[in-house]
Amino acid sequence: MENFNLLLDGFATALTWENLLYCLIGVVIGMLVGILPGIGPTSAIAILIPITFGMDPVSAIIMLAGIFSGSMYGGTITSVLINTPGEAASVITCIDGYQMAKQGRAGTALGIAAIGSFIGGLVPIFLLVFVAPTLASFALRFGPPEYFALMLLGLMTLVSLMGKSIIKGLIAAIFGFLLALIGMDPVSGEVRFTFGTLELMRGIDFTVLAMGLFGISEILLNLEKGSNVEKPAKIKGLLPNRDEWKPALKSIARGTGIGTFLGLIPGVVAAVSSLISYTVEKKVAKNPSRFGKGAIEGVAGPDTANNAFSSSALIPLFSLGLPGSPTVAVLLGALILHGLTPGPRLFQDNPDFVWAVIASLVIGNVMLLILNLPLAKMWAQITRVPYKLLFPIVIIFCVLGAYTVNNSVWDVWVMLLFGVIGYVMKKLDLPMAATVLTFVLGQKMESSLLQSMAISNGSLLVFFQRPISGTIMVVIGIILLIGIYSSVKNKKKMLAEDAEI
Amino acid sequence: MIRKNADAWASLVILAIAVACFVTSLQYDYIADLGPGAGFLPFWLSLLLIVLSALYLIQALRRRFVTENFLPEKSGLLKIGLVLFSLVLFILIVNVTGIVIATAVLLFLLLMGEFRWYVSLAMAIFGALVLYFGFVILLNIPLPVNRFGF
Repeated sequence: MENFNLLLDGFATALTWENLLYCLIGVVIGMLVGILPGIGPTSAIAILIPITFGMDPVSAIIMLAGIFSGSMYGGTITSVLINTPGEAASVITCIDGYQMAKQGRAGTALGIAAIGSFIGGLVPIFLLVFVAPTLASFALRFGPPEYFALMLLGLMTLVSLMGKSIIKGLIAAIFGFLLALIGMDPVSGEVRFTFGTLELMRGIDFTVLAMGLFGISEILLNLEKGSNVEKPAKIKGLLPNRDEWKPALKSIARGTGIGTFLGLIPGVVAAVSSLISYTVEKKVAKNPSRFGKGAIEGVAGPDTANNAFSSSALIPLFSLGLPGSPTVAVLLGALILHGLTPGPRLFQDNPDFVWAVIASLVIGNVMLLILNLPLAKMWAQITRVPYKLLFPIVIIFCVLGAYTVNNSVWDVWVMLLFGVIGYVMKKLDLPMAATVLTFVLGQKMESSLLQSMAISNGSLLVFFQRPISGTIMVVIGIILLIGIYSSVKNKKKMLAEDAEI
Repeated sequence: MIRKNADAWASLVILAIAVACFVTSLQYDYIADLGPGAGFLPFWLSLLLIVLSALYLIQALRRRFVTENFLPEKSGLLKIGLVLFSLVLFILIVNVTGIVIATAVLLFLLLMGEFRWYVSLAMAIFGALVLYFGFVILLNIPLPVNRFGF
């Protein structure tokens, strides 16, 4: 009951005019980002972080979280109307969504997706309200070894289950880790890996790295592909036929469960939730041959799942301080930049912040439902914005954003460098998600590792001797074995989606 | 054989970086007063990276990876080159010319290939002015300006 009262306080904060406005701006930007191919939620959040520097932390995070949920709604629209996923989690929606559009049922596809997204987005928020504080108070008892083990778990899941090659995944992860070590070490005061450069003393700025790796590299990749935009399909009628409600609602329920569960697991990306949901829908369907030919379950399930995922991924972020996916990692970076420390103490130290953000997620989902159901036609027009106009704007935002981080052109150089690195990594299937994850967590991982070893007088056995960290280490071992096994057997094609950019 | 193998080249670059990091990491204290020191993690991470990049090289030489079309076709390569060139140019001139001129040049170069030159020029100048009024005058964000204040 106490949580409920705190949530009401949160609503009081979130419902001020100012925060409502930021929430609306966030979800609208998120919708745009989702709709416009060529820019994804991770880059959008990274690019907009500098703009939030002058804002109140609550409003800033409300806006950035709104982008995350909005993009999941928006991605559906392009998938259905022009068969182009606006972001990776909507790739699956193209399969049946576009077929429905071809049959003249684009409106129905968008309608059921919006309803599913709404339900999928809300359920995990209630879980967040009731489970996260308990989880956080439990986690307060965690020592450095438990934290280190948890972070390692997230990383190993990402590396061994998501990418095409474990070796490439580990290389990308260690690369990010080494980058995080650049600059002054807060513990010893030692200056590391600066190679005599003064600017590197303060380390590489997270915003700059993320803008380069995701924003600039994405533009380079898109330019080379060239884009030909199809004419969007017409939208008529938003609700499914009477006999479709029951199967669609069942798919929505399953999608909610799948997305919520996967969001809790560190190292899983949103695209996987929609993929798994689609597979499940196909398995439980009485007549699987309808899939790929415009089955409503093929839209309802996956679309619900990716929204449930994006809400649910905030649970480990708020309660443990662990980002599960790259987008959440960027959000974590934003929290730190605003002087907040995500982790079990967040609920105690900044309750007004946490509860206001949670309340704003509910409000944001309501706004998105309204924006999507009656206004679907308007959004469809935006798919026509040509990329040749879009990309210069994105580049300008990246350049200015990088410059304003420290008011120096040095950071623009760094961003450009990481743009090229990101482009090359993408080409070579080196998973950037792993790099960003270790970069964000690098300092935390180092300090928890060193503290653990200080406790044990330098022995690594400490991780196996304590019950909680020991269990996690065993799980990590199993995951790693599964990863190695499936990469030897070459069975990884299914999960080889290192996306969500 | 190795000439067309992007993965092999990449693994060699990573190997070089790893070795450089490894050598550098030897300067830092491996052990501090309380357990491992600032050099502990750099030492092991770069060592691990050396091993991994060697494995990557072996796999690449055995053609375990198929990285097709690592370099884009000519038109794509030109576009990417143009973007990189205009960004470098922007960085080099912005502190002297100020934000308005540098942004206008950047926008003009980016739009040039897609529209007629005078359309691009008009859009570039318009964009740069909008940016200046929005960011510098309205939001008061300190962007580099020239000696005339723009």
